[in-house]
Amino acid sequence: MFEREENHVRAVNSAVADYILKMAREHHVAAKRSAHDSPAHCIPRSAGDDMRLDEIERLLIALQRSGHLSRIEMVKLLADYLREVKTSSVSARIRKMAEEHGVAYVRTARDALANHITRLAGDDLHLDEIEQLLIALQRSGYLSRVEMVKLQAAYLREARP
Amino acid sequence: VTFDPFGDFETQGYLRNLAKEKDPGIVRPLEHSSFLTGTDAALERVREALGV
Repeated sequence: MFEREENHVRAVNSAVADYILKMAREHHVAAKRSAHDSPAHCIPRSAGDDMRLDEIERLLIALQRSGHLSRIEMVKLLADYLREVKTSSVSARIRKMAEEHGVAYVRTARDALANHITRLAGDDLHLDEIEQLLIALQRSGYLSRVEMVKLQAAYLREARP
Repeated sequence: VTFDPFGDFETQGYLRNLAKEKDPGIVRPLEHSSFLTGTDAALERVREALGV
């Protein structure tokens, strides 16, 4: 039931997101669109703000609508969540995730082969420590390949001037 | 000239990659990570297909 949300929490690695997900699970509250959501999305879009809520933000709305959070509590939790996710760098989150799961990158014979193939194809690429942790997290089953690629893209974008 | 067989590079990034990334300096490491994490499954598939 909460598969998408669980994947999201893993990818953002946020304690606040984890708390929100636990609350939703405890109260059996899932994110649902209401009839008013479409016009409510159209209004900010027409005003130039194309806002899209992520899985955790949608859960917060659902928890408020089902009476498990007041609007004030919802806004405060939303602020905590955004602060946590936006202020910690992607590399710090990846490092923390690897630490929490006790995961380290171990170079395999297949990696050596893959590196040779890449080099022979004209790309001499070396993944840095953070990118290697992402590979290790994927291999240990803590990230899907899609999540890994998206996190790596976020990390590389952040690392670029 | 960018290789753009789908004609949607501007909106979907280079060859519709998952991150919709256009910058080759970012796309290449993404390709490499996908390659590194896909070789085991790919070789397994080949082994099964060849029946070895």
